[in-house]
Amino acid sequence: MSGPRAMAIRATGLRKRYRRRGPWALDGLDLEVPTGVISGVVGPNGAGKTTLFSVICGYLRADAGQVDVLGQGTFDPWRLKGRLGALPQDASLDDRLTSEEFLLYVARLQGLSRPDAASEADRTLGELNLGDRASDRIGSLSHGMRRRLASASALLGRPELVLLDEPTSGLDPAQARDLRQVLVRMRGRSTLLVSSHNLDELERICDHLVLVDHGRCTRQGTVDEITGRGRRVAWELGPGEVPLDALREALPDHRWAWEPGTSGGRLTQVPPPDDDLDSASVVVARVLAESGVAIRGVRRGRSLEESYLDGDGGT
Amino acid sequence: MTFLASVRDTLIVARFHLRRALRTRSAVGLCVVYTLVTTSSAWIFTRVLLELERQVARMLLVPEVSKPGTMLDTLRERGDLEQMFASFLDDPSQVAWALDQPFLTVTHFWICLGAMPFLAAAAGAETLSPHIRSRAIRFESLRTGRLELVAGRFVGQAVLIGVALSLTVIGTWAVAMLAMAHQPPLLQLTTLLAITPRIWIWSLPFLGLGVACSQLFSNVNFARTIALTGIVVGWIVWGFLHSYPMRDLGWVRDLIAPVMPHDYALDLWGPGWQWSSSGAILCALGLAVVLAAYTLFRRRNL
Repeated sequence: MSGPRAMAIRATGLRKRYRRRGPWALDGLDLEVPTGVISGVVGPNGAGKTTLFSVICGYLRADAGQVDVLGQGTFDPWRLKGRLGALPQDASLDDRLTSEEFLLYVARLQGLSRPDAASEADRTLGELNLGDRASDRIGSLSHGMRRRLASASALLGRPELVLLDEPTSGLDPAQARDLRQVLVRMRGRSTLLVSSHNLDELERICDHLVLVDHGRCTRQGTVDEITGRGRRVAWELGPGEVPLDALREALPDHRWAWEPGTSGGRLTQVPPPDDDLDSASVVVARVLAESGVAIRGVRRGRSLEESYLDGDGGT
Repeated sequence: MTFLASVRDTLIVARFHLRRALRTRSAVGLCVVYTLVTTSSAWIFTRVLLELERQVARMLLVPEVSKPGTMLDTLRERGDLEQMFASFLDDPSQVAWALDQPFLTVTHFWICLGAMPFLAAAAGAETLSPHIRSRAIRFESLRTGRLELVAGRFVGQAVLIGVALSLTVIGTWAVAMLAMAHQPPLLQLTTLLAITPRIWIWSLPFLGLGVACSQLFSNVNFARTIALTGIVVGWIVWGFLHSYPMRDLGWVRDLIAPVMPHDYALDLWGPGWQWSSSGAILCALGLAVVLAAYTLFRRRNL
């Protein structure tokens, strides 16, 4: 019998404000991030995402509540040495240093020996396509390169837990894609907590999501749970008579909703819990094909953007 | 955390602090400022001394000198110099030792005694504040303890000040050779080098004050201003404690003065290793002020 799943981060009742009588940046936030997942943190500006990251990393002290990082309790640099990497959102890099010098320094502080620090610096610079800029002063790098260099520092030594606060902010599309690929390759090896305003990006790389607003966690769960991937299928259909009766007869436990558009429309299928959606989709496709209705597209669940903006998490 | 791991990280931070100081040229700036201050002060002193010697020569109707220092030997032989030193130093062994030193070595010591507190505190104030403000310190605080970050910077800056102080010897030695008469080159150099560790020790409490302010304030100019103001206030308090109105309140002086570095300044002057116990106290005072601020720094938001 397997025990409860280990949590990389567990926060309960976190509260933090920056001024004595100011608004709460975190207002009783509860959070659980399972070990080994890529978890996305989503929320509007001022929701408390960066404050949450800062409290987890020990930059800020919470006014109330508890954080448990990798089962070691509140952040302690010695207990978590080499196990935690982070990309702070707005920390500056020293312009006069070279990329390699900066990485070597933080790698050494992380507890790596000199040769290991050098090889890790090389590896992360290579992974983030900065290998040819290793000897360049940071001041000569573009904003995107600096951002990637800061991200590289978070990946040094392959830490168990990596927190990235808006890692693709300021990156061009190709750089953002490359960084996403690096993160996806870390799936299973490390737990990643990534905040971003790019919901499409998060939906593509994350298996777990945390929705934050007004300093609270409004919803958290797997991407499937949040977007309803296992609970609804949207069929984009061409013009023609939709065979709703035939569908109800073929799949009697499923619920159906038809929203006609200017040309065709959207058919929403809500299966019963634990239904085999793969088999059901074959049935639906066959019925639609027999009735001569064109299938223009199929999407399981809703997009993360739709789920987030509607505030219902796909339910 | 083990003690050795803590020392390791402190040394890594200290080394990086030195590297960064070299890269940002702040190390070069520090050396240039220290050398300029001591060399120019020594040069000004020789000009004043030359003028005094010329005045005396005119009074005595003897030929005027072209370089200062000619009359110092005469003053030393007549015992006038001894009287002068005795008015500053209570300990006869200190007076005797001062008489054995080349005159510009004594001057260099006194110049550094006055200037180093300000120079060290100003340098110390730059150790953490800029990195707190730019949040660059977050890359470090994630990976090592805040105590190691503070201690490493203190050690790094202390090493930098030591190097800068050693370089000031060159300037003062050059002034002695070029602008003064009868100065033995080797003795001048070795005595200057011999007093450098004492001046370095003297700078540590003030470096500690600068590092303390740097932990507390993210604005480097504010941190520097507070540190320099603290030094001025310290001199005033120390002067007041030893003033006439305080003669009946000796217990107040006995309570406060021992925790002020000023009380140990003159102990640094003297033969052998007599100064080492006062030097140890000065080191402890430097660390104490850094640690006092650390109790707040360890809890502050970065």
